[in-house]
Amino acid sequence: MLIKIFKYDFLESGRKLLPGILAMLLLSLAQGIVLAYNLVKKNAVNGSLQIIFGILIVVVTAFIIGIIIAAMIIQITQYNSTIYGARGHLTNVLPVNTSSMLGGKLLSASLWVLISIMVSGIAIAIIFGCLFLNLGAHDQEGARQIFSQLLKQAREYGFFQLFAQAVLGTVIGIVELVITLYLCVSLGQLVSKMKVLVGIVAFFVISFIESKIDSLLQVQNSFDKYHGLVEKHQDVSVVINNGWSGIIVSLAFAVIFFFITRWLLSRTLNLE
Amino acid sequence: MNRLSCTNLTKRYGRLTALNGITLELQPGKIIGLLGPNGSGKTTFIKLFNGLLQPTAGELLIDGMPIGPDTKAEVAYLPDNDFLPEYMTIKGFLDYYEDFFKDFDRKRAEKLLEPLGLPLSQKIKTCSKGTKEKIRLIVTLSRRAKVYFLDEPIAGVDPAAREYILKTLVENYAEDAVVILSTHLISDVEPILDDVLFIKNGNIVLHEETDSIRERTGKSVDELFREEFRC
Repeated sequence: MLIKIFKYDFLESGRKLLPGILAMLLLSLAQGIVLAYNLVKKNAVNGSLQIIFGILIVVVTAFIIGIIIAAMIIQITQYNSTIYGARGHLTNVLPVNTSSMLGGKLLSASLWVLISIMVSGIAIAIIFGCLFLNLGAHDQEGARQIFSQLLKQAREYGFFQLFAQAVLGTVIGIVELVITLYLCVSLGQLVSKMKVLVGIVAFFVISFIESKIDSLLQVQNSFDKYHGLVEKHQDVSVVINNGWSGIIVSLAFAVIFFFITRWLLSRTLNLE
Repeated sequence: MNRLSCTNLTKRYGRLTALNGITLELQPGKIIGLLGPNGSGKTTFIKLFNGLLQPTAGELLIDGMPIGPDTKAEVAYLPDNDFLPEYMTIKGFLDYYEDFFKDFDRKRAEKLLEPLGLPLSQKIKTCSKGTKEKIRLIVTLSRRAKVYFLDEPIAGVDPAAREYILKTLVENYAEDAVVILSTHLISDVEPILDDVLFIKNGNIVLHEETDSIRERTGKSVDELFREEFRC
């Protein structure tokens, strides 16, 4: 049943998100073409074209940032409407246990947020790739050398392991964020009025408690702190070890929030 | 065995008591009218058996099981609001029901949809209000469920649609099932009811067979209802 819940939730989100994702990719491609063929300089005399290019840059940037935010908002509203809205009269009478219901929705939402982040990355890569094509042969060679040098150093310092850890941390972080948002929506439903406000307040309170617990456990999660550790120890292994503890804490929060949300769904659901 | 029972079922919304310690047992093979004026507790009663509300006190059982995924697999519920996923096509919605409910009879649903002349590829959001109500009723009655809860299925529809809905109900519900039909439009449903439950201020004030009511009082259910609930 979890797979079925996942399937329908994933398809529903996809209907809302895919047009935006495709538009972002096309716009970034257009932006890339402008950069690759140096169209701005070639059309320097044409003022209106320059304005269009300027707008294109703003729109592409807005899309890249906006698609991730949109993915989050769509997941929150979809959870709220399918569980607590009119659609809840259909969703909540399905012969599905609460864990599968929540798990399927969580899986779908997390995957869409991850996809939106990845596609934003691809859009940025398209723009930078096209920018690279615009470079002269000499500059391209220089960029290649810098890139290979970076790769070599990354290998020496074990940054690939750190990268893999960052990917895993991002995935778990997304799952944790989505389940936190689900929990806040469910907490908002405990009151009869100002449900949204209570949900938002709950989010800030939970985030504050989480950060305090992180501090207590001394989980390093900012770039500055990572950088400081590397400088101090001249070794990335200390960062990697610290990263694992961060991932474990994040996973623990996700599991705890999952069980609280599940309890709220099964014991306090009241579709009045 | 009782198909459906509740003991001391109570539901409060803050200070308001919607259901006040109801104890009830319902047998299979009957169409039961849950009759009462607006705000009497009909929808609350139905939602509790569907797990959409949590009781303040008391116990609810369907086929001896507490409310959960197992009972939901046996209950077909038609709520009084529009729960249809607007983005789906009619075919997509039938797929959805088929995916989740093992007792869903797709052929029956498609057969019942035929007279409406709707292409299955039509989006639900483009259907009229009346058509949406018929789609909701058709998917609900196309399940071979053990319990049917129909919450105000004929409220807000024209007389022709009422006739269609009641005819579809009588012709399609599983014989060994219990159908609980809530309404305040008694005269329309009276001919198809086996039993009636009068609900008033969260209390069941009458639970009797319709024939017995007519014999005992010499009045129709509609007349008795008007008498009981006179303002």
